[in-house]
Amino acid sequence: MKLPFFKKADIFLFALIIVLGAGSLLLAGSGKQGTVAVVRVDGEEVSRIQLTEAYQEHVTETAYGTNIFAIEGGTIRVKDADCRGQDCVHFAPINKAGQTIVCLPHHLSVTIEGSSDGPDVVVR
Amino acid sequence: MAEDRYKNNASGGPRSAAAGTKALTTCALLTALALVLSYIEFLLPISLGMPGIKIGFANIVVVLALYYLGTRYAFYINIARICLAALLFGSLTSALYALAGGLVSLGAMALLKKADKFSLTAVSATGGVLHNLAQVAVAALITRTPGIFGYFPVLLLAGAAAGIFNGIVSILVLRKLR
Repeated sequence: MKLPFFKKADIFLFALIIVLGAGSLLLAGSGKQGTVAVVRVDGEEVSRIQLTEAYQEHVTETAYGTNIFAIEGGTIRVKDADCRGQDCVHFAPINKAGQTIVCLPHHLSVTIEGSSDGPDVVVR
Repeated sequence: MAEDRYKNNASGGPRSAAAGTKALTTCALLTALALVLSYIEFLLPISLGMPGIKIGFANIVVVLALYYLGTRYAFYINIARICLAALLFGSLTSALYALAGGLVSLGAMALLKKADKFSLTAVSATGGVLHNLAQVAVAALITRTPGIFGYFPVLLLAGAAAGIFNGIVSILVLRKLR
């Protein structure tokens, strides 16, 4: 059997991958700075954390386990967790609306949202 | 063709006891190789601001098995290595996650290989992309957070790059094997 590194028809597969990538880039968040982080467990909101400049810690304890968040400079990250994988701890800090950190073993997610309580200004 | 190496008869069993033993041994060896590669990767994680990005060296073995032994044995090896890796240095969640990625990617690669139009490199690249897509989908389902798809552009690029790398390594090995 001949085993070339590439064949002509590969163009279709690579084009498909590029289209998928471009599409997902368009769908990925607005990139606006967020002000609040929403913590959800099993899709249910459990707490809202203000993204402060000053350093603070926030502990979320559920039946699945404990995650400790560190908030600093308007960003949030998972500082510590008692899950086995430690994947959540390895996410880079997030601060833009739509960005998310997940901890799969704890069924937990942290998503940045634009503002904490409705519109900033209402013009009448 | 090499595909027929351990071809089974109509009843599903190996053609002879000797052929069956040889197939079993080859599968066991390849599974062990995949496990070693997984373990090396487990010891040397890549940090790109998000977890889960890796080359997936164990997939070299899966692609190799797909082209050298056929879909059936590639499937057995894939299941065995994922379950064993989860038992040895993973968890239930990581197994669920890896199974979704492994099965979707192998399924797609088997179909694309059957089409016989694409190079192994492109097949492996598509497998890498779908592997990551399936894992993001599982993560989004478990945490019920569609926002995770925000990581998909990076994962797609990483999956394609890893797939191309693994594909080229597989081709080089396969050329030596025959």
